Amino acid sequence: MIIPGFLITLLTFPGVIVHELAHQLFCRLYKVPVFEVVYIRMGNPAGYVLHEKPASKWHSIMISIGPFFVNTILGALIALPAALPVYSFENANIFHYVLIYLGVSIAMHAFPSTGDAASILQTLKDPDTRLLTKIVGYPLIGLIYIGSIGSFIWLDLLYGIGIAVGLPKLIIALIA
Amino acid sequence: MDPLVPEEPGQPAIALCKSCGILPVEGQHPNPLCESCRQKFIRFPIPVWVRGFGIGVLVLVLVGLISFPKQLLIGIHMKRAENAMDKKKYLTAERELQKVLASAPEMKSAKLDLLTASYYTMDLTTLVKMVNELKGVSFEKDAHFSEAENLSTEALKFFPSDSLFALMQQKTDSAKTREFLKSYVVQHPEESYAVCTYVNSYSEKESPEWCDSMIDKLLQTDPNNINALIAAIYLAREQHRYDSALTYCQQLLNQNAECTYAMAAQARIFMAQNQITKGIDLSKKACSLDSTDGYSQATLALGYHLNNQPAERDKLIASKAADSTISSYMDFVKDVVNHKVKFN
Repeated sequence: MIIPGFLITLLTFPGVIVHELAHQLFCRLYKVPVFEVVYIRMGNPAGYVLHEKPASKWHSIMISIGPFFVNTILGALIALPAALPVYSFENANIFHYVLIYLGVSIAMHAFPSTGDAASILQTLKDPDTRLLTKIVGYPLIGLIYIGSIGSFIWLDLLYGIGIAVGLPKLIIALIA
Repeated sequence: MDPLVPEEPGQPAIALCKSCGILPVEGQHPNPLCESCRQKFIRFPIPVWVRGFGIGVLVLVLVGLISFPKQLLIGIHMKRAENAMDKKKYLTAERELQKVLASAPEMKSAKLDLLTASYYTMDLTTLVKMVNELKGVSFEKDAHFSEAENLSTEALKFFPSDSLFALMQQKTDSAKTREFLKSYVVQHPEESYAVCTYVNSYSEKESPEWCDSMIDKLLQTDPNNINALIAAIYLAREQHRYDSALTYCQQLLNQNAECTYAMAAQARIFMAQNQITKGIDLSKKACSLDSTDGYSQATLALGYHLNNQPAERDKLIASKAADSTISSYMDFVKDVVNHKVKFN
């Protein structure tokens, strides 16, 4: 089923905001000046962060993929208390459903965008980029594009649900 | 704004900040910024509404996390129950499911599993309770449901039919009841409860062949008939057919790996075969699984007696004296100790 992008943005706006905020926070972490941040809008891309090109290639990569970590961890944390009542215990209330919605919508925006991939590509094309950075960077770009293509078959949503539901189940399986 | 301003005539130009145009550029960066503006851009402000959104999310997370330990505990008990059921350890599964339902009493899937577990542990009170609670409740028709549905029908074998129940109510004299039961069994050989009740009161004075044939018929129809297997163990032991009795015990254990009755019965068979230590070990295992099971406790006491451990035997009997369900089983041990009956 194809749903217009703006509708997905609208429905999952918490994830878009957290995604852009993650870029901004990684810029702050690596002391990279930020010139503009659009947290959410009805357009393509749904949000963006304009920042200075970092001196370190690794910093550049980390700023691009930062939302992957932030959105994944935050989405999992939010869904953690709600996943079991909703998916296993049949005793969920409205609060649990709100948490699941937040968790899934944040986790599903964990994938870096093709814009983020383009930014990494630009960094890797620099003649002074070291081989190790390229070895890590190029497959990463490939993965980002696979994720982007996968979003047509709801890979991003599946990832969000996987994080929201899978993590609590994993914790239980490890403890029980 | 021209960022390049000559410091003095004839001197090279000093680059000024692209943002403020006042202070000189610091460091080698792609964007010519002074230190103050660079710091300002590094700490690019996060709008109040985004901060508010973040705080709101954090509050929700914190509130949710308060209930998480309880949810986690339920999840752990449920997982342990599932693992136990996969291994056919229904006693453990039943205990874990009781804990789950104590915290989440409306959990249908736990009730369905508890129905299954209580069938195999023959906890009839819980079984009936679960059947009643699940009446009219809709379920996804999966293998899980089919098994529970099938067992709730099979469970009828644990109870007398309405006609038998009504007739038994009228009988008060035990000798007459037994006589009546035999005639009822002859007419209704397919009625598991009636046949097993009759066979379980078998005495050495009677010919065992007829009882054997009745139990065989039940087991031919349903080789997993728990009541019939228990009766078969009893009959085989009474006739010293120990190998057959052990096979029936194993058939019970194949259905429920934690069937304490089967373990204790095996233990008594080993004891009767003079393998006392093996019997004691097995009865200890049964007791550790269910300390409230009178038959297992009595078997252990019997083992101590046969192994010339009177102190342990008496201590065990004394410790269970207050529990009427266990002490009634201990009466048999006391009779063996006092040479009123012979254990074989």
